Amino acid sequence: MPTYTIRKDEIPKLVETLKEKYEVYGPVPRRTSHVFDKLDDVSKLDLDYDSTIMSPKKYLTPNRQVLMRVGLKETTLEDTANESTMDTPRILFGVHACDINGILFLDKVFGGKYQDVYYASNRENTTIVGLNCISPCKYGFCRSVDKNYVFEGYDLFLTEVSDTHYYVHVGTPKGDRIITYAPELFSETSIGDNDLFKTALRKKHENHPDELYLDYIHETLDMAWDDEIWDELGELCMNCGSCAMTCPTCYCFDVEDDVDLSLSTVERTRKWDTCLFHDFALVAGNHNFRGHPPSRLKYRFYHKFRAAIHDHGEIACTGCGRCIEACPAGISIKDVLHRLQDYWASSPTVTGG
Amino acid sequence: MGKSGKPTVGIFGFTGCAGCQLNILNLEDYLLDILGLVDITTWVMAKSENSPGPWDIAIVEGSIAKESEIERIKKIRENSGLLVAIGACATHGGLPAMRNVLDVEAMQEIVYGEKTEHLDVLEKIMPVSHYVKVDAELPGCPMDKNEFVEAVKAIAIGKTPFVPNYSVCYECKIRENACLINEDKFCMGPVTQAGCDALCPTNGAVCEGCRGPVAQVNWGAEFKILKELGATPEEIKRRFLKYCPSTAEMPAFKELTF
Repeated sequence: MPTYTIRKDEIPKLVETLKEKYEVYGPVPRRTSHVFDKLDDVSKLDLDYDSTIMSPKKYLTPNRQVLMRVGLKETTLEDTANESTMDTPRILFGVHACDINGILFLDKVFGGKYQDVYYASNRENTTIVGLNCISPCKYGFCRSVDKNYVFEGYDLFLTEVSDTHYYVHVGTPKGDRIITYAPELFSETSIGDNDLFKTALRKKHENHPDELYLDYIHETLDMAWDDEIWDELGELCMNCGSCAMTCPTCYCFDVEDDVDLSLSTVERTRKWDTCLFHDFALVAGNHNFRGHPPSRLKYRFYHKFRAAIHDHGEIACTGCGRCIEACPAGISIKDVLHRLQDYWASSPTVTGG
Repeated sequence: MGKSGKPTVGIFGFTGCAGCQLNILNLEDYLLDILGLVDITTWVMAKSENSPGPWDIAIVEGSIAKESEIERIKKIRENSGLLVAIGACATHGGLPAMRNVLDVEAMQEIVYGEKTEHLDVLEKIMPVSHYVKVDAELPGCPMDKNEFVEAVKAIAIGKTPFVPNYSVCYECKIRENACLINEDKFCMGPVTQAGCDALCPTNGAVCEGCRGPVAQVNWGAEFKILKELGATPEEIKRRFLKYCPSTAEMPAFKELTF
C-alpha cells in the first residue's frame, strides 16, 4: 500500500474538502475531556486529544437504533436495515489504535456467525482515519493487552513524525478515495520521511509501558471464581454501568417496542444495556440469574477475559482505560487483572499495575 | 371509561409546590395527543368543571402532611382504577418531609406563633404509598415530562409503565459527560434512579438524588466515596435524604452508620 505525508496545518483544509462528500466526525474538546462529534466547525478538531468519553462504537452500534417500523393503522412493516447506507457516507477522523481494535472486535461480534445487518450497514458506510499514539494516554494500558497497533481496520492511518507532518498509510481503497479527493495535500514519501517514521515508532515503543502479564488469564479466572476480590469489589461497585457504556467492546443491548402517542406507529428499537444492571438477567416469573449485584461485576470480568477468548479468540479489552477514568468508585480493571494474575498465574514479575 | 370511550383521569394535588402539575400543563407539544388518549375529567388546577369521580386513573402529586389528606387520598384510591404518584413528594415525601427530623411543635411556633389549633399536621410527612396502594410511581423533583408522557401512553395501552432500574450514570455517560465525582464533586448519580436523562450533570451541576434510590442501591459505596471527597457524615446523610426522606425507612439505609 502506498504511503504519503501531509502537513499538520493542512488537516483542516483536508477535512473541509472531505465534508463536501462525507459527514466527518472527530475528537473535539468538551469541558474537561474530549468527545467524538460532527465537525461542523473544523477548527474544533483536536488531534492531540488524550482519550474521548465514549468510543466511536456510538456510530456503529448506536444507543438507539430502530430495527423496524410497524404502522398500526394500515398494518405496514418497514425494514430500517439499510437506512444508514442510504445516508451520506461518514468519516471517523483521528481514531486511536485501541478504538480501531475495538471496532475490529465488534466486527467479530456483529459480523461473525450471525450477521447483524444494522451494524453491517453502519460499518459499510464508515471510513476510518486512524491516528497513531506516540505517547500513551493517562489511563490507557493498550500495550499491555497488545492493542496499541493495528494491521487492519483503518482506511487511512496517520502517524505524527514531526511537529509539522503526519506520515500516512493507506489501508484500503476507501482510504485511497480520500487521497484522490485532495491529492494536492498529500506528498509521496521520501527516504527521509521513512526514517522519521521509524524514529517515531521507536519513540512510541519506548513511551508505552508493558504493565500486565495476561497469559493464562482465562485459567486464572477458572481458579479465581471464589476469590475474595469479588466481594471486595462488590462493596465498592454501585453497578452504575459507566464502565460498560464507555467500553469500546461492550455491545449488549435491549430491544423494546416504542409506540407513538397517536398509537399509529411502533418502532422496534434497540438500546444499550449492560450485564451490570438489575434487569439484565431478569426473566419471566421474576427470576433473576444474577440478582446479587456483586455477581454482575464478576460476570463482566468473566465475559471480557474468559468467554470472549472462547467466543472470539481474544479478550474483550483494548486497554483504552475509559472504564478506569469513568468509574466513580475508582475501580481499575488493570489493577484487578494485575492482582488476580499476581496471585493465581505464577506470573513472571511485571512492572507497574 | 368516559363518554368518549377513553379512560377517565383525575389529577390531584396534595402537599407540595404544585410544580409537577404545572409540568403537565407545560407539555404543550404533547397535550393534544394526550387528550386523544385519555379524558381528563377532574383537574382543579386547569379546569373549572370537575367530576366528583370515579376515575379510571388517578394522578396524584404531593406528600401526605395532614390528617385531612389521609382521608382524601383514601377516598381517591377507593374511586380510582389505577393510582399513579408523580414527583418526589408523592413518591418519597419530597422536600416537605425534610421537617420529619425536626420538632413539629417548635416549627409550628416559628411559622404560626401561638395560634396553631387550626393545623392538623401529621407528626411525619409521608409519601402516598404509605397510606394507599400505588400502582406506578414517577419520581423526581419535578417529575420528568418525558417519563410522564411514556407512562400515560403505557397505561393507555394496558402496559406497566417502564421503571429504569439503573442509575443516572447510564444516561450521564450516554450524554458523554465526564464524571463529576472524579472532579471531586458530591454527585448522587451512582445511587439515584435514572429517567431524567441526566439533566443536572449534563449542565455541570451534581445530581441531587431527587429521583430516589436506584434498585438494589449500594449506599455504602456512595458513602465511602463522598467521605473520601471530604463530606462529613452529617452532610452525606442530608444529601441522601434531601429529596427522598422516606428512604430513611429502607432497611438498606438503616444499616448505614453515620
